[in-house]
Amino acid sequence: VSTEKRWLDELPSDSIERELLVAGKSVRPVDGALDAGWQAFCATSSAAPTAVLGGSAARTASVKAASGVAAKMGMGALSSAATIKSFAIGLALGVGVSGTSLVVQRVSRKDASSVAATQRAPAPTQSPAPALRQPSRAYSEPRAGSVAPSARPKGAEPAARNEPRPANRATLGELEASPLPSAATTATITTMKTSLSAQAGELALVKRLLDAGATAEALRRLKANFGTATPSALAEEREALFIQALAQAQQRAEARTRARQFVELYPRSPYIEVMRRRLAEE
Amino acid sequence: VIVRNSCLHLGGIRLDFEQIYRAHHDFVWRTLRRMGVSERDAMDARQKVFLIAHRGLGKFEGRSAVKTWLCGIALRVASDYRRSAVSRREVLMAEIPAAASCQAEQLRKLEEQERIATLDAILAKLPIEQRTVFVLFELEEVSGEQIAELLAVPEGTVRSRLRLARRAFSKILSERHARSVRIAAGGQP
Repeated sequence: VSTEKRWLDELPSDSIERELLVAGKSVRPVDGALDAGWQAFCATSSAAPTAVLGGSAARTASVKAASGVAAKMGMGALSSAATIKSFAIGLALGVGVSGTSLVVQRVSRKDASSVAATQRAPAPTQSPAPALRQPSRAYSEPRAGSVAPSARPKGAEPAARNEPRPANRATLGELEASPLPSAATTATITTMKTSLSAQAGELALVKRLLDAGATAEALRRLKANFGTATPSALAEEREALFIQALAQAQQRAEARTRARQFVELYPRSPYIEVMRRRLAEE
Repeated sequence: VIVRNSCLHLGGIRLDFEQIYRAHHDFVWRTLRRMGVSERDAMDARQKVFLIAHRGLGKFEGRSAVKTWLCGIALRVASDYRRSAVSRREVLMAEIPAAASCQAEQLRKLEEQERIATLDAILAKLPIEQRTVFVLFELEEVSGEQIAELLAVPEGTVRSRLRLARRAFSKILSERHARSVRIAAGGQP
């Protein structure tokens, strides 16, 4: 056997081995996998290093990165209710057209008052590290975690470790542990509302990951950033995505259980038909 | 080699990571699939390969081709995957092609899927050393010299593994064929 000559060059033209080798050489991933993969890669590569920090430090870094990007994009932009709405619309479009009105209504009804809080929030001092080039297709919505900590200059410590946190910012991790809004202090309510845009951005990101087939990463992000106890105006959307992710990950039993709970908990949800279909399929 | 802003500068040629990703995406995916990563997990594994590569850009010294470097990472990711599958007590096997309707195009696709499933089933039975050499040399057209460098073995060892792999491949294929003939004749599998 020579390592100069391939087997394919030696096999008779009608051999089954040849057929199999030709098939093996020509197989490609499904259409669109490359672009979707690159988009998901841009998202995950900038988020992944936060996992090294672990626990609440990781969440802090993640949320800081998200809010840092928002501020960097002249938000300004995020300080208008219209932007928050469009942010939520982007998310809802990803999750399902029928969800759009619900999300917009929720955001405009519950979170108009958060605009002032967002405006007051100090801009993070963290300067963005050289980021990966974004995919050619531009996104209109801000991307959570698009600052790439992986590309942080050597020697620079992650901001989450040393920087004092602005007084009116809280991490999603802290929100998990916080009491329900009705019993919360004014400060907690403010921080929760401020983080709504970060949550919406994170959910949009998770949706893109699911579409790209990066199910494990999507599940990891959902579990890490959205504990079930998180008091959130987007809890319903989060749960719908979580169920979709579980189903994609073949965790059908848990997906079914959660879908059943979803139907009981949100009987008037725009996702209700999707959930019922899922239950019927099982 | 200079690494700057997720770019490799190799001998005066600038390669940004998106170019690397796009140029080698299919190769990485195919290598993972043929080395035993299931269709379901191939996309996640592919991302892992590129994430590792991206983090390791600074360590890439340009002594090997980018393709060989990525290939090394893909082989390690596939190896970890197989190991974790064992610890999860999953049985990795060729996937059954999804049922399709019998229209001409669907039929052609189905036949193609069956070939791939057969190929994977045969590869799954090869010892891993032979499988690695076979996949890289015969399917991905990596040179013998590069495989030897990648696996840190002499080129003679690559030749020997390749010879054994081809022989085993034909033998397994014949056995499968004989079995399907027996089944078609109404005998026991």
